[in-house]
Amino acid sequence: MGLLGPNGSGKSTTIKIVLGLLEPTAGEVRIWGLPSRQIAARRSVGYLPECPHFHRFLSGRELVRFYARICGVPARERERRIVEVLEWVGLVHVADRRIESYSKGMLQRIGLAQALVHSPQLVILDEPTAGVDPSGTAEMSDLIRRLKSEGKTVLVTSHLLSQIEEVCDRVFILDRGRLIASGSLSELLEKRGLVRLLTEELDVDDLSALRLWLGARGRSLVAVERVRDRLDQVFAECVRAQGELRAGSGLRNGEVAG
Amino acid sequence: MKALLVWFQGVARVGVIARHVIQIALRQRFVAFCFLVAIGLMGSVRGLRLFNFGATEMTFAIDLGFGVMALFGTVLAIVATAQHFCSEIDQRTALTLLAKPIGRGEFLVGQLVGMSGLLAAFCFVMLVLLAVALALEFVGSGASGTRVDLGLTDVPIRGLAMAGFAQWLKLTLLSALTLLVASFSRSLFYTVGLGLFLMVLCHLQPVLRAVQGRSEVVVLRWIAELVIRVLPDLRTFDLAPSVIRGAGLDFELFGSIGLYGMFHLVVISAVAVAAFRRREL
Repeated sequence: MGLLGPNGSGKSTTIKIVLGLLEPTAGEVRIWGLPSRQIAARRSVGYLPECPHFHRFLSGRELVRFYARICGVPARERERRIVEVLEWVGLVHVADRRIESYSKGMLQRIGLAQALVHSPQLVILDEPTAGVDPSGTAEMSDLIRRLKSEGKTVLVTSHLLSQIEEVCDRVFILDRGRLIASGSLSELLEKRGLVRLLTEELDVDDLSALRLWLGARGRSLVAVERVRDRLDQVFAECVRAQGELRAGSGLRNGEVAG
Repeated sequence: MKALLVWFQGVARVGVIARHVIQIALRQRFVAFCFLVAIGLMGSVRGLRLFNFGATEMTFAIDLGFGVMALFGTVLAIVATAQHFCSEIDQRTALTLLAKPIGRGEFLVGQLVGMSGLLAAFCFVMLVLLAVALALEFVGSGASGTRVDLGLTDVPIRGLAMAGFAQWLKLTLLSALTLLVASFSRSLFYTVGLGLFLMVLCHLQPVLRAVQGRSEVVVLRWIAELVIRVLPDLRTFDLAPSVIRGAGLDFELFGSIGLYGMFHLVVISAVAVAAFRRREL
């Protein structure tokens, strides 16, 4: 589920109410049937705050272990679960490094690891890609899709609408504390009465013929556009290709392949 | 049975938070600095005894030992507590933590227990160093002994332990008062400043009693009475003079000081939890 809205629209406040950190002025929030103010309701919730800060003196493993203890992960399962979740977010190789040496993207991923260590059914991600580069954003999108595929409910807020479009099934739009639109992505994005066709290159004659064919059926050609890649996709592909080249040729960081 | 289980789970979470607080505090440069300077001063009792200003060397050594413990313990109890709690709020690590299955009361009590553990470790290290210094320097072997003979045949371990416990209780109370301020304060400086002010007030009970009894201004009398009733008298916990006298340190006194300290600790913590529950994070 995507929670959208301009700054100050109430996204983070809504999340705080869901997490029982704020008292709603009216109404009630229940998580799996339990009022969210109850401690038991939060056992099945994982939360990654916007721009998370963690104690810089701790290593990634110590941080995740601490949250595992807080969430009551049984001692006999704890270490296995910590390794699992660190592998899941791709940080197992730096798990014993202090958090102060982590990059922004790594901080987000260790934040996701602490949110998932107790296998919650509801995962709340508040701006999970704020300040993260496009590669990190793409990785976060992959992780969200994996959570979805594991059957977890993910509530995500983001200003990157393309990311929301990629990963969400349903979207809620807030403005000044009010819900102004909601529904499935197809319901919200579908332009009624219009379809888009993708074909190979057409010349002028082909286009004229197509217009005639459509006209004969009482339809018209609204627009013809060249298909373009999105910049974030191009960026991700370039970075990935460079990484593969570097790995293949044994170059170090800072040296450019090709 | 279920209520008992919930209670145990709550206690376990408090324990996890407390352990985390100690783990973080021990890695902070400020805490390490306080520990090292205090250990250095305690270790140099032998050299510093030359500046005894006429007191017996034994008196001076015990005074100095407990003075170092009180000074650096107070700094740790107020500054380290405020620093840790305020950074939890400012850096929003508290937000991540409180989104977990943990109550605000458990979070705050965990902070207090953690700081109390740190202060216990500090007092223990100081006491051991003081006992060693006394054993090496001042326990005489008789008039013909080469060491200074102060009439002691052994280090007053029991007295030192009781005075050390009282000192730890006093520092834990200071930490609780600081947490009470931090539970509603929004700035580190304000928390430290008000914490120090409360500490001074807690040491000024005789002055406040005089104001309460003699002042002609009714409002001042009321304020003095309120402060006397609400804040603990921290002078009660200074038992170093009794150790020096070698008398008056019995278990009755020890028990009454313990109960007095625990009563105030529970009241201050309860008020702090109530204030923190209402706080918007």
